[in-house]
Amino acid sequence: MKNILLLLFFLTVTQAIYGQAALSPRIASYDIRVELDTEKHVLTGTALLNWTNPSADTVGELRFHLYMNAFKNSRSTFMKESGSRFRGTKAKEDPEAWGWIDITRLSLPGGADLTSSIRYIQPDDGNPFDQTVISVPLTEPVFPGKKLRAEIDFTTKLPKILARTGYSGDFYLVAQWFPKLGVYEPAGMRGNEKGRWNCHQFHANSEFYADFGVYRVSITLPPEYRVGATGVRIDSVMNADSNQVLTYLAEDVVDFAWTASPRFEVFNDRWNQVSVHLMIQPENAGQAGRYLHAVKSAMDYFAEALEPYPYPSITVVDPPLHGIQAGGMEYPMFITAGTVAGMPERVRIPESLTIHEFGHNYFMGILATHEGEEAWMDEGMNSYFESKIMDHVYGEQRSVYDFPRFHAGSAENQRLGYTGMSNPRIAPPARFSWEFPHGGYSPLSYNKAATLLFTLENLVGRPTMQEIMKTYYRLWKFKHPCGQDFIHVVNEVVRKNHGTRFGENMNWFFDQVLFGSGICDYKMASVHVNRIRPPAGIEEVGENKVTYRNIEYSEELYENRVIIHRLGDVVMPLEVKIDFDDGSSVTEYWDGKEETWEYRHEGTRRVVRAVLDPENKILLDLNRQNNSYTLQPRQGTIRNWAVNFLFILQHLFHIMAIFLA
Amino acid sequence: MNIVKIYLRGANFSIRSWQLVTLLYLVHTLLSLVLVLPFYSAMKDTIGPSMALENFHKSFQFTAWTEFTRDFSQKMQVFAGIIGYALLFSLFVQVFLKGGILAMIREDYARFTIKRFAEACGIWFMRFLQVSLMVLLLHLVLAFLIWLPASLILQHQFTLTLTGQSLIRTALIALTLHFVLGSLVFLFGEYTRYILFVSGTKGVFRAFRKAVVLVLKKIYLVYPLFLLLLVNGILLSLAWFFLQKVTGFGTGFTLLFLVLMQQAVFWLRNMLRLWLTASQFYLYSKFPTPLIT
Repeated sequence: MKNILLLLFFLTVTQAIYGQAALSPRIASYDIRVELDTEKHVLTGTALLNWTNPSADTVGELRFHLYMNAFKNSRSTFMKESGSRFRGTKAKEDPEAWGWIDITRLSLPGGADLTSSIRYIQPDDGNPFDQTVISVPLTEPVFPGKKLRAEIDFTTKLPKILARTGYSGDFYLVAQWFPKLGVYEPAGMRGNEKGRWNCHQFHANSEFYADFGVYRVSITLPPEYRVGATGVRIDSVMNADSNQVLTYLAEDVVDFAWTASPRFEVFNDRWNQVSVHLMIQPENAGQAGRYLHAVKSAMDYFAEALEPYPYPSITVVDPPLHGIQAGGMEYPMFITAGTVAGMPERVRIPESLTIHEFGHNYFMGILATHEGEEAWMDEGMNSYFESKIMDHVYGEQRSVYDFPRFHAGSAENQRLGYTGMSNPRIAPPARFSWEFPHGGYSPLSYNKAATLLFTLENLVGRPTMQEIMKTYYRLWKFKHPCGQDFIHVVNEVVRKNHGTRFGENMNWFFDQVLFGSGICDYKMASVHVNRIRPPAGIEEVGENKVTYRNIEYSEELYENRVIIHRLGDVVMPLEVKIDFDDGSSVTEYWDGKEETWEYRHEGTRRVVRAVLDPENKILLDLNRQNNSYTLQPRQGTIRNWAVNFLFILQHLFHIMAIFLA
Repeated sequence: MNIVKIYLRGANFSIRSWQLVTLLYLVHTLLSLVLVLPFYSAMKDTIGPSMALENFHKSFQFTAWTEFTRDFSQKMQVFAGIIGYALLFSLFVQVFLKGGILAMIREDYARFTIKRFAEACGIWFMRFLQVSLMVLLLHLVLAFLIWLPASLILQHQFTLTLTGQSLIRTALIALTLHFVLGSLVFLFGEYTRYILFVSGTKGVFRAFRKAVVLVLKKIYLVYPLFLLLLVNGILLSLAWFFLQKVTGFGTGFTLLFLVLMQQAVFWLRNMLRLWLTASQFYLYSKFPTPLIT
């Protein structure tokens, strides 16, 4: 209750200050003036920070992220964790390729200069060489609900593009570029027992978390550059040096990123009241329609599934191939996608990237979950929606690759990303993103999390799942929910719609597949059909011993047994469909708890095949190939593959003969 | 010298040589079957009693296909090694057959018997094997010389200016260069064998040098004939793609039809190979003697 009152207070205050209805608490706002030196790839700027203490605590320290220092040297935590690589790109040995950020002055309006008291801290790993977080002790504490204004001069050297930030040639993607305040989480928020700064170091497998605020950013740079940014451009003038000064305003956002290049072609479009800007490489201009269709389709879908996009603009950036490491990233009202010249229309990589990154605006941007601590809430939920949108717009089972004889849908691609892991047990999806071992971050926090949501949808039904997502979004937008907040909504809605059909709550589901690392694999082990012979031998009838002789049944009788094994640790309720030789079938329900289960039937019918989970509801099942068993196998497919393999081999031998013999 | 006449004469020979074509077809098919039969058996073993692939003929299913290939991949790794050995063995067989093929062409198919054919194969085997190894080495050197600089150029561009267009352009230039130079290496090898065969000499390196001179001097005849013969292969491939579209994913009777069609196409492909060799040999035979001795 205290938090809700505080939230209402902030909404009222911010509305009074900025004159527009505030969507968010607007706790940390920035007014930044920055100049880009395109020769040295250096940004020089001043940021005016307005921060309001959202807690009931008296705060005597500020903590800031200096993300750009992750690229300062090979000893930073980011570089050590990534092996000086990010998305396959090696950090360059070239001294010009490194990036860094320096705070040259940090002062309060009263004149107190705090610059000398800045110290680097390493709250996560104690790595003394990591300079991505600073602590600034305050000369005067900030009392509950009170405001603090700070003026910060900074210099940022952009790296050669590495982790979705930096420069490549004359292309700039400027992200995580200014000193960014951490989040002071009040007691009760996201399960905290007491108030604390949440300001993690920059890790290789980690994204961002910040307070909502209003960003007013003026960028000075040479006039030939075309610029796209978070927010809306509200001013554009030339200064005395004949450089352009562009001013952007973004309200109720958690970050600000921008891009600049003289080579961009710009396409403008609209979706309802939202301006859609596409900044694309000239060689890819032919694909502009694909990008715009994808982003507008995503907006349509989210408007229906959650709520309409609340911001006035969205900018989509298509980075050049030499700067492709800038692709596939999300910032509020600003996303980067990526394609290459000649990308076939049947390969929908640009579309899926665009839809995915746009979706982040809801999860990273509006719900503003913690991308580092609970990546599944952002990447997983967003991947779930990405697949739903892709399959809805471009067709199920063909939305990603769409060739006549080879096609794949987005949802099945998500599932295979998880089930194809060499060891799906290495970690649960609910884990700090930098703690995932052995490449588990992406398949577990994206693919498994999306697949568990699809499985949940299949269990509780689509209408209930739609209600869950709508309710979760309505209750938690602009409030930084945590995993338990989502689970609480699931439990409430499922209980309301299904009573105790799934138990007292759905915790059993999340405990196994979100907080647990066990696997789900059910196997149709065997099907047996045995003819029941007439009885033989001796039986007591009264006091006499009678020998069975010449007993014949009027019809042939069979004993049918269908045996299922649970190979994994995860327990899921299942349906089992059993088909008989007379064309009839039965569907049995099994709670899936025992390690084995047997169906028995005696009668004139013979079982011909049996299928576990016939409607493919349990998508977390690692191996669907062992979910069926037939006594009448059809070999057509593998015969076809065998004859095609023969044909290919014949040609292989023949081609070699032509060229070498 | 009319290369169209030579081309047609090659066609005439290959059509008449159905027994030789069938022999080549059978050799390739037997080699392939040695691998395909265990492959089929391993696939049957992998799928077992599962119904996962039952509806594949109706439409492609990515999930079923991926799960099947994932389970099958362990067995495929063994196959990859075996295929490598089979290709090596096949190379020896193909080199062995070449002498017999040339003998049949020179004698205009007058006395085809397996004995006669095998004798000729044996006579030329070692010399032709040396030629094949030289050609293989040259192809490897060529690949290295073309793709190493191409990748260095791309790597350099990647740090500053690489665009999709420049990537495609560089790859196309490298591919074209590889095709042109690779086909020249192929022609050097072919004409080396003709020189060895006609002259009866054992000096493989000398014959190769002569073949290089011959091909380069008579490039205006040698290369157009090669391109003309290449068209045959391209037309057959196009016809196959069209037929495959019509057939779709064959099971049952349509599978039988597919097999018959595939084997007919492959038989024709063997015939085209004979057409190629015969035409080039006839062209070589027309060159004035001083040029080639």
